[in-house]
Amino acid sequence: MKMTGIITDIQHFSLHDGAGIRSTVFFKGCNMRCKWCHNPETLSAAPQQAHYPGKCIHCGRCATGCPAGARVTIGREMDEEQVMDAIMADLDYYEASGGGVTFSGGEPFAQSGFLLTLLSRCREAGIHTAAETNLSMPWDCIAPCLALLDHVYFDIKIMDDEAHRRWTGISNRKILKNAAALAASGASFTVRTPLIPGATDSDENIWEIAAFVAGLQKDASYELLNYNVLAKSKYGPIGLTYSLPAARPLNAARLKDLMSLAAAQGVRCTVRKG
Amino acid sequence: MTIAEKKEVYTTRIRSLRAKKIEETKKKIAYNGHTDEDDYNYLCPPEGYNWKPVGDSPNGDFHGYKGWSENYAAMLKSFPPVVDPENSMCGNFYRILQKFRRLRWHELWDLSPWQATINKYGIDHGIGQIHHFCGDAKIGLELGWEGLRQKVAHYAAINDQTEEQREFYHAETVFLDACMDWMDRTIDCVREKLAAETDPLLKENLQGMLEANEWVRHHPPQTLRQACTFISWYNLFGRSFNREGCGGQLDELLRPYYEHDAAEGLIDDEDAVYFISGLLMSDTKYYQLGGPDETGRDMVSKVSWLILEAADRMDVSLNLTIRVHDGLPRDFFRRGVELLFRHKNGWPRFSGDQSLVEGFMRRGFSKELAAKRIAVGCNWMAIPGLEYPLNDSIKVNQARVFEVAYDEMMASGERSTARLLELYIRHLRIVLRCIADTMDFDLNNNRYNSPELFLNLFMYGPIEKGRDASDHSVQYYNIGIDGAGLAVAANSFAALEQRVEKEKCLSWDEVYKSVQADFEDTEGAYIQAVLKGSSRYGQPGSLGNQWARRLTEVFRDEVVALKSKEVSVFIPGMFSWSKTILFGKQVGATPDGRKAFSPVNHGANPMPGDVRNGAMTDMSEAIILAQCGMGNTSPFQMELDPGIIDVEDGIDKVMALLETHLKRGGTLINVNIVDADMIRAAHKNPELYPDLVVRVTGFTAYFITLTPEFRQLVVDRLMEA
Repeated sequence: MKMTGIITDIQHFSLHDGAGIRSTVFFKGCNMRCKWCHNPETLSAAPQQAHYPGKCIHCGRCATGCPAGARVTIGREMDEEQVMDAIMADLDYYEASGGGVTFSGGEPFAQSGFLLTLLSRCREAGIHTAAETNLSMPWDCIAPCLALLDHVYFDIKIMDDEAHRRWTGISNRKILKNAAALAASGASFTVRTPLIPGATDSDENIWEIAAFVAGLQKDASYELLNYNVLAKSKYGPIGLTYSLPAARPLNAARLKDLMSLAAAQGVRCTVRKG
Repeated sequence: MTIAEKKEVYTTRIRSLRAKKIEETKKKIAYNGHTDEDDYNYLCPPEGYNWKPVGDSPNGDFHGYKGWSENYAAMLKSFPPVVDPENSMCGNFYRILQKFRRLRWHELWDLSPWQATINKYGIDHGIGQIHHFCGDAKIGLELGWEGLRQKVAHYAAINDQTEEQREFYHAETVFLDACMDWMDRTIDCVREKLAAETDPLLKENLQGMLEANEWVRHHPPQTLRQACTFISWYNLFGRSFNREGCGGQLDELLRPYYEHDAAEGLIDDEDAVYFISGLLMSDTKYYQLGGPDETGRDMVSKVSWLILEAADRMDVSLNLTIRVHDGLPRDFFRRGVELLFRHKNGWPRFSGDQSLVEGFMRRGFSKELAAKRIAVGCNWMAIPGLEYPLNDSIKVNQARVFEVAYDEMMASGERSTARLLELYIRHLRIVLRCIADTMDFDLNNNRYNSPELFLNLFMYGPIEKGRDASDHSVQYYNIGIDGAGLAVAANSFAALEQRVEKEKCLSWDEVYKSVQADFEDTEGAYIQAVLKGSSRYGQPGSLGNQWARRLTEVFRDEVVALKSKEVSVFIPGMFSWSKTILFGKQVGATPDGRKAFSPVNHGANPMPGDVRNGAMTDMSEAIILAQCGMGNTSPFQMELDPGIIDVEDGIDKVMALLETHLKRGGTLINVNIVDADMIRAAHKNPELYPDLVVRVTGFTAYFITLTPEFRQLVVDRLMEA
């Protein structure tokens, strides 16, 4: 029987999720509830409705499916063939650019069985693979996939556990433990911190995270992702309220300061758009 | 002067020339209004300039050898000479003779055998089409202007059998005399400026300009400056005569002269860049750089690099195409992509050697000939000196063909997409038959209408035979026919198949009634939304993609099967040029949900908004399906956000995108690098952005020169990026 999973979207021609030209497969469902989440439509594990009243043409046919895109279903169950067909469509571009596929979310390890199947298929097809994860799922969900992943991007958002709980809904203990295990496994990885004003962007937080990252691996890769205002518009249509309406991206000087701070801990720090 | 000092002097002059050009663009808009066309670098006529041609028919148009040659001579005499001491080249023009014409063909011609068909289908037919072929400038570089005059005299003495031959040679002589008189008057002006100039460096430049022009006036060029001067005049004559715009393989044309000068120690690379910048400034002609020669060796040379260097310093509207193939040096390709992003001027463009060569061979030509067929127009290719293709001139509005077929199906008989396709093919054949017949008429008559007095001199055959290029004197008459509006037709077929035939959520009558009402009837908004939400061209694996492929195959097969008395072969391609608005106005609402008379898709691109998340790879996949594979192009009009390279290896990613599209069967990529905020602001206040260049379609233009309607279309398209 074919494996299936709940997929939010598959984005072709993705340039920001790893090396080369990539396809990004957004898994649906996440175990964390970060207040700034950039992909709130991926939080719920089940397909859900989004509403765009401005597109409504008042045809009265809501029950049979909106033709105008005013009510759309986000996420659908896809089997491995469907996902692989979408991935394979851009194979030539992966080969030409050193790209591949990135499994993102949501939290891809929350559907670890389906992820493992897709990773195996990609390995058979010779496609470079990466995952973007919060690294908070049980290690048993993560470990089997590592051998089939060419690179892992994982977040360490906040070092202070109490603040981590407050901003993301869960403790960071497991994340830090998994990070150590992942580094010890020899997997290729990049650590990321989204720079959320008032939540993650303090000197202390970046200093401590950078120290932790430096401890994982000498000269480890560490990315600071600047705050991105675009997420705000995604909340209303799915009935959620964005909790940081006044937040703005950090300015260039501040980004430079934080990068220097992190680099002082012995990591290779870069900054990019979130 | 040290090299660094010389670089500073030349770069300052080039910047000054750029600033003057931008000021001139503003003046031209005030004088001509918005033009929706390429920037040709001509000048705004001086105040009081009111030269007009002498007509020979009731509507005042002029025709034939006599009409064109005598009016051209008179027009050139009306041009005050132009010499700018900062420029390495001299001369410029004020008006294009062809633009004085009211009608493309002779008003007294009887077009009634085809007029009803032309009107019914909105055909862009071949009658009266001109100059869409490429001269071989080498003919002139080897002979010089005086040598060309002697060649005309030589063959005039041999081919003295008919009055028409005598008229032909007389017209060519009048044409050349007028050109050389223009050169003489300009040379006199250079001499005067030289005498009056006090700045020693500018004086030195004027002295060099004078010597180069005096030499080129009488002899074939020997040095790089002379070769650039020759080609600069070539550009001015061709453009001012009938808007001719082909340049050729510029790096190879200039290479022998650069190598000569370098070996003799006559110039350094700074001089070369300065001379080339003057040449590029003379006109926005289409030049190809790189690509394999007949033996497969790549043609990128030091001169290719110097051309890019000159273009880099100029930062103006240009049309340079890099021919991409396995042998293209990676660093040259990279440099092209870097410049594309640095200046955001829409150049260079990139053509795909493999698909073009294999396609042309598929149409029955040798590999060697296919390699000589280079990018010299908006979307098109030609063999310099040998081929008369009229590419980018003859177009079939596929959306209109669909509409006629759809109306017929709905009027009576079976209703199905299978029958609709049969009717579509039947009507397409009627359109193509009309094009073939009008081409036969054109090739037997156009010399009496618009002879090619300029390009005849640079083709192999016309002067030797005493016959115009449009009159059976050129080796190959491979007439290009482009399809336009593919996305509208494909999406309409797909929507009907999906919503009416498969899902049965709409009936044939419901859709047709609503289409006729332009979706303004009671259920119109709903029906339009259902149709628009169908599986569209531009979405991977979609029904729209399948129909686009099917319709492309139909178009290819029908064009290839087309026979005519005068045409060697017909070659299919897909390109609307800038006629998306015009073609749209010929077509009412369509079952793809498109409103009546709104624009059709651009080139082979999907309709704006139909590619999810603007994924360029999905768009590429669709456009590959629209390739006719016969040597002509279905260009990818690619709009990219400048931020796309703000990632690690951003340039490499873009190179991979371009290269992969071309390797998968793509033929040409016209790129715009678009800053969304700037283009929106420029749309509101174009006068604040006089130097903003966009690749409108195959050509680049200053955004400020476009009409508001056309600017809106460009903005809509670019916003997808």
